[in-house]
Amino acid sequence: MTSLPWLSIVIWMPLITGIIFLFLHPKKNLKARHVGLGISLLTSIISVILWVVGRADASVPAFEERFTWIPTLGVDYALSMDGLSGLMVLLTALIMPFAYAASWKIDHDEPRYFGCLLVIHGSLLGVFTASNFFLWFFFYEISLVPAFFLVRLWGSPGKDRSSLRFFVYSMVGSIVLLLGFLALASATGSFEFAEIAEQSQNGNLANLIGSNLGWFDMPLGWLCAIILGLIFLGLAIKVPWMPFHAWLPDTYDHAPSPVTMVLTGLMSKMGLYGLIRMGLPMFPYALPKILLPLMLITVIGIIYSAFAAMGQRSIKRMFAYSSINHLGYCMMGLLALGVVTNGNMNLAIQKTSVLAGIMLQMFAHGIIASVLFYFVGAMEHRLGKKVMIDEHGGLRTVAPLMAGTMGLAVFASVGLPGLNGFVGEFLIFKGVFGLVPWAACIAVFGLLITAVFLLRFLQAVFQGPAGKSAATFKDLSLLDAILVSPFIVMMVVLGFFPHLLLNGLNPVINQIISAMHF
Amino acid sequence: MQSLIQTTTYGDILSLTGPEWILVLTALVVLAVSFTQAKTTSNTAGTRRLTWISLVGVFLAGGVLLFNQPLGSVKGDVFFVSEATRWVKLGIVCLAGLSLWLHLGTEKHLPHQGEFHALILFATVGMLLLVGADHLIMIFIALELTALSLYVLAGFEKSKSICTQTAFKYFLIGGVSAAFLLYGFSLIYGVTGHMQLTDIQVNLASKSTDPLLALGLIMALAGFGFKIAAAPFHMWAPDVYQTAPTPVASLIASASKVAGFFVLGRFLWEGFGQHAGSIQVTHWTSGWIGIIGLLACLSMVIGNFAALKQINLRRLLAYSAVAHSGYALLGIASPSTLGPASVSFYMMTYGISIVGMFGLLQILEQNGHASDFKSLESLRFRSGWMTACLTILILSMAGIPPMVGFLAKFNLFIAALKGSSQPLGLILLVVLALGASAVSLYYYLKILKAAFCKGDCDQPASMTINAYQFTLVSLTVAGVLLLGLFPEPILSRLTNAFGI
Amino acid sequence: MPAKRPDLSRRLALVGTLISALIALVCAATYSPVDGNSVVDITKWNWIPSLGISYYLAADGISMVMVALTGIASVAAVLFSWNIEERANEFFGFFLTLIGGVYGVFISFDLFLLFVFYEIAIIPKYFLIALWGSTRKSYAAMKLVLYSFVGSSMALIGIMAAFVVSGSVSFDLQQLILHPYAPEFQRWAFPVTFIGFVILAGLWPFHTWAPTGHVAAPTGASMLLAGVVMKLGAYGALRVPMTLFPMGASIWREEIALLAAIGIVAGALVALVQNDFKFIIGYSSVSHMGFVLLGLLATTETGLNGAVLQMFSHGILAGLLFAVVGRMVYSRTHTRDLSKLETMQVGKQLPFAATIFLIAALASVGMPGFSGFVAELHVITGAWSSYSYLALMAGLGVILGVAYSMRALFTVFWPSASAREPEIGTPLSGLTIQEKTGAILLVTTSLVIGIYPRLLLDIIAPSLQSPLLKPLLDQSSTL
Repeated sequence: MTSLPWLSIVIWMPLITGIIFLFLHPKKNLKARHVGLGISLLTSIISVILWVVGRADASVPAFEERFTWIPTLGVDYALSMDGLSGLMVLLTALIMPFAYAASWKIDHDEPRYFGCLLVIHGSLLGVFTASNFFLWFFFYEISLVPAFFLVRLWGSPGKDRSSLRFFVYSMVGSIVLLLGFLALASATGSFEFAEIAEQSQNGNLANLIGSNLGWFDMPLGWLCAIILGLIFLGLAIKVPWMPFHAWLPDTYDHAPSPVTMVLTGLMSKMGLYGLIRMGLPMFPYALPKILLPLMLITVIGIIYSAFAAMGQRSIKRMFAYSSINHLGYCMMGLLALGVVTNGNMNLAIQKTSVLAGIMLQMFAHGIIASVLFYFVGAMEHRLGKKVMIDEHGGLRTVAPLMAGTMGLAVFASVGLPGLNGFVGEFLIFKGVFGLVPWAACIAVFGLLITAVFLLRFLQAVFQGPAGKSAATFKDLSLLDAILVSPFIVMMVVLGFFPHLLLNGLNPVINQIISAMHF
Repeated sequence: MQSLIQTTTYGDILSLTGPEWILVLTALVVLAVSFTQAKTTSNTAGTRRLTWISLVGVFLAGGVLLFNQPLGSVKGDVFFVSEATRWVKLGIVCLAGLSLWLHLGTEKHLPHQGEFHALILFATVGMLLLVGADHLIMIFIALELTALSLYVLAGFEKSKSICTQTAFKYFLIGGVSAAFLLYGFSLIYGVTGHMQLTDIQVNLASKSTDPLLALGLIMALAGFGFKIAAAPFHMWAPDVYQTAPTPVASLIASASKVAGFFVLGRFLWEGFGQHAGSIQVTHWTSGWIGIIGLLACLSMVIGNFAALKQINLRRLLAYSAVAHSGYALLGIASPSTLGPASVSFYMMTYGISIVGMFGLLQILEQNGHASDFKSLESLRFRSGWMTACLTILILSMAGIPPMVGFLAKFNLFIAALKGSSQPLGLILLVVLALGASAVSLYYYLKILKAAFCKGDCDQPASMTINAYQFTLVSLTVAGVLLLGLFPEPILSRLTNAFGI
Repeated sequence: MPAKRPDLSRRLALVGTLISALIALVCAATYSPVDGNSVVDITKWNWIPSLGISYYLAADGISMVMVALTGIASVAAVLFSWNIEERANEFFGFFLTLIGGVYGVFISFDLFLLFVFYEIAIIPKYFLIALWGSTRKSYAAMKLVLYSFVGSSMALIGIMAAFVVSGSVSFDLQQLILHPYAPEFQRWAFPVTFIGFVILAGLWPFHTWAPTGHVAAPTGASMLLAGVVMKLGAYGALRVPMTLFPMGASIWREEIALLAAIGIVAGALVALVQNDFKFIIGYSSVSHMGFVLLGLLATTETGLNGAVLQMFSHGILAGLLFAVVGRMVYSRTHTRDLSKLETMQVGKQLPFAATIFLIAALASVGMPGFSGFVAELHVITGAWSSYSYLALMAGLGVILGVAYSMRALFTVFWPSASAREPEIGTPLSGLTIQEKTGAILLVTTSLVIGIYPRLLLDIIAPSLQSPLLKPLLDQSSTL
């Protein structure tokens, strides 16, 4: 590859286009969305190529860019792509155009809508490839504003409150995170992830915090705990980790479906990505101390969200709670990585599998959830209103294709072996069983309940006697089919050949686990 | 520059007291001329002639002071002339001249103008003598000369009963304080056996503190306090400022203060320097500085707070004058050599601005308004020039740069903080002074607010201003501005003069 | 200038401010310190030798930043005052005097001269508020001026004391700093002088004049007052007490820093419960100035960098916020009450204003990409290494900032559907070209600095190494 700054290109191309779109007059620019789609596709294609290239030699971060930006803070404009970043870049490349196309029929203010989408696209890529916190935070915050407006201006009734809640929760989370990270930066003098991680592994981090941050005579452990707590809290709100999840169901419900696709498929991953990137390498030693209570809360959250999903009438909300549930497994795995291994190789292997599972699950959930919400959107479009679980039935007879593909996606979500949802969950559970057995045992119930409500959904909506809506319900259109099929194929292929992804991830996983191996 | 003359002959005395003689002669000339114009002395032209004559005399006296004044002291060291007195006298003479100029602007005249002018000149002579006095008797004589002239002048408007009332009150209070002064002086003489200031000091050097001496000092201070309108001896000021004819009020407010402060400073430091004591923050010893400090506090506080409530501008100016006396007392209390110079500079520049203010008030009154806030309303629209002058003069009195009032106050504070065994001695007084200035800013701004804000633009009945008033006020404003921007020539000369 | 021809005055004022702004920006751009001495002399003249006073104008990096700020803010303020009709000549007369005084403070290196300019800036403020203001203008004007005067008097005491104690030689800052002041002296001199200056900067609890005053002032004046004149106080605090009395600074740092942090939170809390649109912005100014002061008192390089940067950033953004509230909204709707504005569909009728306010609100809250973010980051990082608990308070302040900004934004511009009953009133007139230009000028400045803060930081950082400020930084690093 030539020495063009590819990462910057893929980030800024959609970002700047998006910003331009925001200022376009709605009535006069009907062709804008075509241009936007083109840009989005182009960005994605380049991203995929970058991923492929990066995968070839995955042990070294690829496409590094560095430029001195604010010396007084020790901040550079630095991007790079390692295995994990590459995975997320790939995910972004897949989901964003999907969501873009799914929004084709948006009814008002189109250029602004697509502008928002494009800005999110660019900033997501930025978040996933930033090498230091400043830049990470920069793109993270930038992504919030268009997301907010997407819900607020194009959502369904009830959007005012839920969009505001979303914004406030996110902002509070990000400020808390910022505070924590500034403490770290103040102590170590740098914002770079790699540098801070190195300090942490040398055991220096605690000392630096102690010597550089003045806080009367507070014991060092407390200070570190507070800083870790701030960072963890900030990211946890985004994941979302119960009990800070309150913003999610409403937001997902009131957002237009394509936006929900982006929210669940990509933006929720920002939190997990942050935890893996920042939390794990920087505070491995602190994790064991707080493991127990956090794990308990996570597990409770898993069960609770599953039950909550079961109790929903609106299927959009059902899937929303299901998202919380699935991400809960990832959190469980993440926390399990904090178990002390004492040089036990077996446990180290368990940890490796957990981390691999988390990453795969992130990808898988992204794909699956987007597809599911796409279908929900399609159903809403046909029915003209929100889809309630008990109002329809027997749609299988009139829309067999939809039933089939959606069913496949649902099964992937349940975790059927052979589909990509299984691999991730399996790896996570396998590892957690070895590390924190009791947690895994309880969490299995969550799986069970998930299966229950998802299958119930299928049964209620697609099977059974035909409801009143069945008459006018159309099957998948050609466009729908074209959009959905690659993902369906991916679900199957990755279910059988997960190493397609894993090969690129292994070096990163090993690197992180070696730091967590204590 | 000039050699000191130790007088032995009348000729020497004459040459040393040149300016005073010139003024006395002028007064006599004026009286003579007025007798020849017996029938016409109430009309404007005649009066103006008299005023011009007086002005010529003043001008000559100033000229002598500036160019030709020899230095030295009169036999017995009753009266002395030095660089410092030269400059202070020059200031007094200028202020007197400005007050006379105010009279030029007056449209309506009272009878007995000859006497009027003569009395003004005599009062000025008294002030000049006061400045040069070095002997307790001399001080008293000069003080009485000034005071008596001013009593009569204050009540010159015999037709108005309130004027005579005020003048009578002035006379009574003045008389009482003169009595205090005399009694104090007699006690001092009794203790020291001398009346000449340096002799007193020499005598006291070998004595311990005597309660009788303290009593004498306090009584003398009461007398002086009346002169400079320091609280609590200021009761006469508001009434006199309000009812006296404008030139008289201006003379009292400007020149007599300058003289009073100068002689107070000399009296205290020359005569009783070692009994000064100290009121510095960490170094409290008993002495008259404590009393001065107390007077300063009272003046600043009472003057400013009373001014807050006034609606008559003349009374407001009177109370603010009390406050300004308070500030100046800080300079008296300062043990450094910069002290007296800063006080004189302060009172002289303050005098200029006060004369200008009275000029503006005169214009207001002659246009049929009373001197209160109401008549200031929409001044902006009736006369832009007046408003501008008012702004500059008021801001100078408030102590806002770049007007000279600020610089003078600043100089005063530096003097107070400077030069003694403990640096920053009188810091608490300075803090109080600044606080009091903040209070004064309130009522000064009120004046400006009235001039700028109130009233509507549609009835600008503009002011009639005659040429004399115009020139006078412009002169004072120019003086205030120029001295504020380029104070160095005057300031350095003054400081050097006192430093000798 | 004739009172009946407001357009003449306006244009002249605009030309004047533009010229000074251009000069300022050019100087800032070409400012290059010579050999480690970051102070560049402009002019020096022996003014009053008997008092050791010289007319000495000079600039270092920090001065240049502030001068650049004044330039930009003054042009914008004139643009937003275009609608002043009554007695426009006097308005602009006072306005320009104020601006002149402000410029003077920033480039005076003789403390007497600095004080003179500081005081010159006080009186025009009174007239601007009392004559052209709104809510309780007389009271607000008097309160503002008296507080300013008291503050400056306190500062004067410190200046005079320094002069006298160092032997009454000179008021030149670079001379005064050569004298070693005794610790006992610094112990009282520092807080007196510092508090004196920062009263004008709105330190809690001496800040009460600020919201009242800024709300009462006409828009252009509010922009200048909140944007630039409050910075006079902070700049003065840095220039005088922190430079001359570093030991005193290290003794009193913590207490005053606590006050600053309380100001951040208290200002934000009060802003949250306001029902007057302009008061929200007024209290938010107090909150943001708290950041400046916190950065100053952290006395680390990062903190000081942040303080100066925040001075610039808030200067621009406060101007922008007041411009929207005062000029764009209030002069059209004639109400500032939130509940009334909610019904007026302001957002629909003035989309440009809505967008600008959105940008301004986000920028002042600390959205990356704008100057506020970089500034706040510096300040909080600096605070972490000095007073960690204060950094947390500052974070709380940011969160509250989000809260009140969003509340204002949504109530006025995008009220929720339930509250929206269209009022049958006259439709609001569109924005004039001057308003748009001014807004774009300010937004662009904030954006540029947000994206490439080195434009300013490269000038500020070397000045922090100069002999003037080095003792201060050394003090803090020995702690």
